[in-house]
Amino acid sequence: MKTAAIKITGSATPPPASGWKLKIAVLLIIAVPAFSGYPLHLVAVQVIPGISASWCLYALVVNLAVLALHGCGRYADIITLAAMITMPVVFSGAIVSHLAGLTGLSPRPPALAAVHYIQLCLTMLAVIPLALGIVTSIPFEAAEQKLLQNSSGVTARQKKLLMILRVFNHICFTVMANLVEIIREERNNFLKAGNGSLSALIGLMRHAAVECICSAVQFIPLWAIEIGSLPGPSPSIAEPAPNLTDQEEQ
Amino acid sequence: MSASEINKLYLVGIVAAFTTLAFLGTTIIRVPLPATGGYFNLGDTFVMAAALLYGPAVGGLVGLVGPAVADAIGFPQFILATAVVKGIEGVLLGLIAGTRARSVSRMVLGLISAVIVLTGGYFVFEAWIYPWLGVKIPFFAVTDFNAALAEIVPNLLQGTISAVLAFAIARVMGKLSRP
Repeated sequence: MKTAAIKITGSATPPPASGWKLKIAVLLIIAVPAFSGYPLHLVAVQVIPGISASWCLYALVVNLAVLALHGCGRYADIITLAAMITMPVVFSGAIVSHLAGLTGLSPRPPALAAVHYIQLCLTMLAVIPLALGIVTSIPFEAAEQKLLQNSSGVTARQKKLLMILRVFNHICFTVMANLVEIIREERNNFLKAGNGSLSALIGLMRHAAVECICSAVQFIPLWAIEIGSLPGPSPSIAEPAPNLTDQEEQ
Repeated sequence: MSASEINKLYLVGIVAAFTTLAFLGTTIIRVPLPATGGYFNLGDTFVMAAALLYGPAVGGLVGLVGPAVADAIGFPQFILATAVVKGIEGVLLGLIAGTRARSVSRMVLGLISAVIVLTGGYFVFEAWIYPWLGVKIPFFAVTDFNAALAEIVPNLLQGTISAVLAFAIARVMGKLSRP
């Protein structure tokens, strides 16, 4: 039996695999009000005009649930990422709306825009931790190792799944971490050159994107060969062979 | 281990990579649009680059999945429009640009078509399909004709910037892949 549990890359620490199905089930149940609106819309109490108390409470419940299920360390990562995604959206949106309201470009008065973005902030601070909580519950690394160490062989479908898991892990935990460094370096070069033109900015973005794509796809040919060479399932569990006629069998 | 199996696995890896990049590109850079509650992003760059580099099937799959999954985080009402519009955008661009012997004129024509599909597709969804669906399902009642009109310019800008970047990426990566 060929053992193929060789990892080419992957610096990520595998997330704890215990009880992950239960965690996902709990988080999915908690997610129902976010998408259906029920029973959040039944509460008429408002914290400030236009902002429902039910959404404040819901955001709190979601964050407490994620904290309880994932622990302080992981929750800190999740809420940091959620804040990093939410803040630019909310602040830039509120500024654009405010200016549009003041200049008459938007029919909506600035006060209404403010309420909209506070509500959006609450929604995003509930939905993003929830989504990240669900994604981080899935033990990608453990699933990959389980597939690689499967003694009864790996089916074609499992090989595709293995490839997807490996690429996803590689991009999220290796490429993105390196990309921050690349952007920082390119930004310094951009500032040193003192060329603030649009073409220079596009050049900077192009360079970052090409670096990102190259590092994302660089191992894929190698992985395709490695995963493709994994042993197939043994005959007892192999997919049924197509029915052959007597003539073909002869 | 056959060559076709390796090729299939390679394509699965490429689709997964560009889908993840499109997802991250859509999620990380978000500028909200006050008119519709939607947002401006650069995830299209990776959809267009995938279609230019690997053809209509990869471009379509990346467009169908990556940005739609990103919409699930914070803007779930736009998942339907995003999946349909960006899926078509990827397929059309891949078909027009072609995968072999790409000429600059075909790439440019494909990118212009992709930008038109992006802008026109969202307009159709936001002006007519979402208001029609919103009558039956309140979840979709987020836009109307005026809001859709207001979003044409931001979408055109988003598409154009993404197209310029994708063109530059395809040119650079085309040169890199030549022996």
